Amino acid sequence: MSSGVAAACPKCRSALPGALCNTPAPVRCPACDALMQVELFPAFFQPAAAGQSAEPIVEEGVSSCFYHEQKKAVTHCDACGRFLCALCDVEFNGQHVCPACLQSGKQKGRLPHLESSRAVWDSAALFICLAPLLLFPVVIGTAPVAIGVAIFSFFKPGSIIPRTRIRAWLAIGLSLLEIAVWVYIFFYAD
Amino acid sequence: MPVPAPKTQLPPAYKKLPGRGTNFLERITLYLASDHLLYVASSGFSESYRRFYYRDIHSVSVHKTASGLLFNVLSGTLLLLCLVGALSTGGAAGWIGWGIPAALCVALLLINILRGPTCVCDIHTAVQSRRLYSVNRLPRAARILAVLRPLLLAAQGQIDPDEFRQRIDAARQSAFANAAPPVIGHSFR
Repeated sequence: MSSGVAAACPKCRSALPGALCNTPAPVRCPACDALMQVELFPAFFQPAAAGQSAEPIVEEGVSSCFYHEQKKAVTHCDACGRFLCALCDVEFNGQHVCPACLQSGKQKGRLPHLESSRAVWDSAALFICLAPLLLFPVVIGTAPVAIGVAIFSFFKPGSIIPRTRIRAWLAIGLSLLEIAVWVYIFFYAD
Repeated sequence: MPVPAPKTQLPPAYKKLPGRGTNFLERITLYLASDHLLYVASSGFSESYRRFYYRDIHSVSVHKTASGLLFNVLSGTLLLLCLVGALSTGGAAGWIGWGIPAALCVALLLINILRGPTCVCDIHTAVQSRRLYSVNRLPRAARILAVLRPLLLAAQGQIDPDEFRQRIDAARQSAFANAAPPVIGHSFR
């Protein structure tokens, strides 16, 4: 949806009049009779932002962009200090960075605002600990792996959402228990 | 020359929004940050994140679905079958035998009724639309909209409701005027 596009019923996609948008409770669509609620916000009417273009250098002594020698520098990268033209300047979370630093920051995991996925090792440890219980004898091989993965999870960044370490501790505890039971069954039980 | 990375930034503080849903492959949850809504899709060993910045959200739409009603009909039918079974079997054993599944059906029916009608909720920005699988009940959708509305308006600014309606109507008229001829294969209602 963007400026100039009508608000539509989420079910039948027919254009809705203004009176049926931003209602305090769900209303019936006049076209399909579905009970629906469409909440529009001011951004709906904003035109799509046009991309910036870099200004060429027209006079001597003006700083140029590190990446585009013919373009005028408008700022510097907050990470590496290189001069940047309007095209290379990426404003991100209050910082001006160049695309190379942005890429580097993302790869090194320093920009949590840009992360699009993370491995959750503590859940993996719990799975490695619990799933093999279906075939109990194999736990002697998987339980140490689960302990290793759980310990590994303490040194790796976990989920970006609030989460305790209970899964990792549970995986360690249960794996130790599995090893103890396995040793008892195979060495001490008659 | 090695490229230095920007200074390490702390992850924002997230607050969980009520509800949890699934798209069959992933478990979906929503979190609020100071400037964005985080959509977390968890597949067990990994989580993928999508951020919807408050300033970019164009609209949130909700519509009621019939799945809750279908579930009620199914549970009601099973309950009826259990009662018929209990009546036809008779005796304490019959009532106990059929009573357990009947009680289960009653519990499921009550839970479903108490949770409210089912719905689907979508969030739209200029470049994408995404279904919020965790918002699958109308009362929950109302609660989440009540939480989101002030945050989005704070980020985007307020517009007078009457002016807002006029602009929606104007956009509707403009869309009708500029409508392209129907394309074969598309369904229009």
